[in-house]
Amino acid sequence: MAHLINKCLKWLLLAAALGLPFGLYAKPGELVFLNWADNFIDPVAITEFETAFKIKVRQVYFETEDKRTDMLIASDGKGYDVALIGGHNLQSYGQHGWLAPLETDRLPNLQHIDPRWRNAFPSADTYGVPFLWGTLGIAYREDLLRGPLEASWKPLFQPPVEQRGHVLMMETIRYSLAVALKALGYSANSINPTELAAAEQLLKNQRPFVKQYGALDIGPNSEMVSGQITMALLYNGDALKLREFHPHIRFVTPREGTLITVDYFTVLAKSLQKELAHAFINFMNEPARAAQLAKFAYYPTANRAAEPLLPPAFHQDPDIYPKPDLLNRSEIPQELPPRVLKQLNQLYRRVVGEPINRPWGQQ
Amino acid sequence: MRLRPKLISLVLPLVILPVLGLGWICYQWLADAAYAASTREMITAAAQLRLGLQATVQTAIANVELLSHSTLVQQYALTENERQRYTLLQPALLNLFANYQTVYPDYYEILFLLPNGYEDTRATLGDAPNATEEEGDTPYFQRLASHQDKVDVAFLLSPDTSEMVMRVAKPVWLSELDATLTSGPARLRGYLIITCRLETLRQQITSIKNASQLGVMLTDTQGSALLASADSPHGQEPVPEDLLARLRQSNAATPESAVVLNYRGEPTLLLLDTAADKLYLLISRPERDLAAIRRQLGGTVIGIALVSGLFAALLLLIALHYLLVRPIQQLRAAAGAIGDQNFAATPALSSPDELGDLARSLREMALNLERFHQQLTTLAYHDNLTGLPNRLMFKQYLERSLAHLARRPDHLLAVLFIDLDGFKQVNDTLGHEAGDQLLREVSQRLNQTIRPQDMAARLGGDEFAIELNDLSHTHHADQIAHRILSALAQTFSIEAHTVTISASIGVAIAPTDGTDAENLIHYADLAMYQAKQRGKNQYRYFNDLLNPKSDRQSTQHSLSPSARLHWPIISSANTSTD
Repeated sequence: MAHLINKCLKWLLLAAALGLPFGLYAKPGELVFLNWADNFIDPVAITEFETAFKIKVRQVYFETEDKRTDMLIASDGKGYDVALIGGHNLQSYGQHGWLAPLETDRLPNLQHIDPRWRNAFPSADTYGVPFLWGTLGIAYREDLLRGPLEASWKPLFQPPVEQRGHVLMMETIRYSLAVALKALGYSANSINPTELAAAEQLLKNQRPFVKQYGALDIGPNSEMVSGQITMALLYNGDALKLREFHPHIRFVTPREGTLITVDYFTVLAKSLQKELAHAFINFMNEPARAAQLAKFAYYPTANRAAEPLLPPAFHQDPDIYPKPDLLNRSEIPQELPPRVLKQLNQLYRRVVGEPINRPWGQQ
Repeated sequence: MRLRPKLISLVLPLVILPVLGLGWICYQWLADAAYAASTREMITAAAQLRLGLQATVQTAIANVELLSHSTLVQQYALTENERQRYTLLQPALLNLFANYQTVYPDYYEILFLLPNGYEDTRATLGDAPNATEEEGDTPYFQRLASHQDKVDVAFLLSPDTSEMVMRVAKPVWLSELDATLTSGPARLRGYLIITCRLETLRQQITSIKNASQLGVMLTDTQGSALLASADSPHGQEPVPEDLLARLRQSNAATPESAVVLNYRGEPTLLLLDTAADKLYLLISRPERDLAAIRRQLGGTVIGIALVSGLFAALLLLIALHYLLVRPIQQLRAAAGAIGDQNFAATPALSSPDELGDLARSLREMALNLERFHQQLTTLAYHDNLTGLPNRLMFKQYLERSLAHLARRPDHLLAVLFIDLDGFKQVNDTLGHEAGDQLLREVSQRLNQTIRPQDMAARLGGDEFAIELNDLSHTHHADQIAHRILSALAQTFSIEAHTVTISASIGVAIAPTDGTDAENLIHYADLAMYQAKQRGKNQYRYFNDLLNPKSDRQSTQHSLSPSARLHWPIISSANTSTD
């Protein structure tokens, strides 16, 4: 407890005394890329860009969408050139002045992008180039759970007793809540107070099993590899990537339907190298490279020209490409009324119960 | 009245009254000290609570200032679009608030209100209920809105939990940077509010209540009980306004002093302390608590006085008993014993004081008395000439012996009546001086002849009597009578003359002849007379006089036939008488 207080005090002092101490400003001859942490973008593609454009790419990583937001708050949107932003955040990021509208003439490869993703979210076509899309599901350790999981959200919300404290949920409340709503048979975008209350209760009942509302490390040191976490709400691509590090990691997309997320390349409004930023985005959308990136990350690509270049096994993997009827039962996160968003923030606080120090501290 | 009760009735008041007096002075002094200590305790408690409250207020003000200057709060306040606020900034803001709440668990609610009173962001510890999100119409917000420019500290009952809370509100004024980087006019963006539970203060009040039995109430100008020590039945009753006014008056006149006023139906020691602006701490202690202390104190003092008084008195009495009463009793007992002719019973007192002197004098007096008494006894009971017991003593002694004999049926007692034969001739021939000397010589011979348990006495003239004790048979009396006759038959040397005499002896035996002393002496006398008639120098039993037939002893009773002469025979070197 004293340790926690100390930590918090340090945090408070830092925040109060220094304002927000982030100095991640781009140096000349350097492109700063705000990227998902852990093995999302194939490093080969980055090196190729660096060679082709004779420029250094500095990657700054975020673990969750909330942490990315916190980082942009801290720097007031300064210090980054390119960022990967989830579709449902595009409008608020753009309105908050963090994103620059795309200069489409600098993006010839935009022609390859599937239009359904370009317009999937409000303002998406203004600010973002769709990159990879994915679905949420349950990653789990087959060996530790003794057998394959049924394709449902039920085992995630009502795990066996011995899994107390071994479940990981997503820090982004929209996602954790969305799957709770799906588990109950409601819309992932429900704003019905009764349904929201039921979902909140489901999350509260699950809380003792949850080790953390956070993000899973996608690498050899992951807690799922070590076995401390046996079940996690995870993106399909991350789960499949994680399988590279442990043979017993499995993934399931529940039959009730799930949430579809899309990441967009965006140019930051306060970037001083917008031309280079556009070049970076365009470079990544060369069909061959886009296919390579999708293969590396185990996510379906939004680049239609890249799709034929992917091997048939990739296309046929139901973990990567869920069956059409399952996709039909799935939803993308929609824009919700602001006051509902406020309620969700409160709901998250009530469920999580205790503060988790972010963006600087790690529990 | 005896000496002891007299001493007690004198000593007890002498000891106990001064002790009680001292006790009374101590009691007064201690009671005053208790009153002063109580007042001091109340002042200390008030100061402690006031400082604690002020520290809480100051910390909350500092925190609300600190929060309002954080970049996050400022960004949040400047973001007018609800969607942006709630999607991008609110999770971080809630987290910041929650971190403050981790450090300060009393900040159960941190709020950001919009200028119109809408509760935009609310971070609570636990599931604190929320009465309304539209705070615009509450009296609290009206007050807040009326003075918008400075930090506002308010103590109120929380509309959400109806618990006494402190609310520190800071209006957030910010100006936006425009494109030319010049700041526009500052606008009110909202209010940052920390609602603080007064748990620390409540605990302090409870601990003061528990430790010092002081009633504590936090009250406003209206006298409502904002925070009160819990366990009183009147705990939450407001303070009457006229009482509050009087207390404030007396406070203005003499600050930091307690007054006794009627409060909650009994006289109570009250202290009013201004804890903050329009906020008072009322410290109370019912006077009966002080009275209880005084009673307890009084009881203790009286108890100590009585116990120590009694103890001192007891010690004094013991001392008096050993130093005075007992010696006096001993002296009295000794005097009584001396009165009873027990001259040896003098008190064993050797103390070098006046009583010791008295004891020594008494001892001397007893010795003198004893000597005098012996002389008197000798005069009364002894024959002057021979030193033998006289007739009176013999008779008394004989009576005692007879009484004694009654309890010993197998023993006999003999009374011998002796009359000298021819004493008259000696007297007439040699003179009275010689007669007296002869009597003295006879006395000596008689004393030498008898056994220790026998007694010889001179009855008068030439008559002697002997009491023989412890005889188991009459012939023991025979032997002694023989020895007497023989002893007296020896010649006496009187004034150069040789005198030979004889004696006639009458014997009476008790209890055979009787048990009356006078009778026995008389019977022995009669028997002696018979011996005289029968020819002197012999003894006769009284019993034989009654039975003349058994006159068997007539010859045997005499010494010998040759001794039957006419006595006395007096011979001398130059004179011979026939």
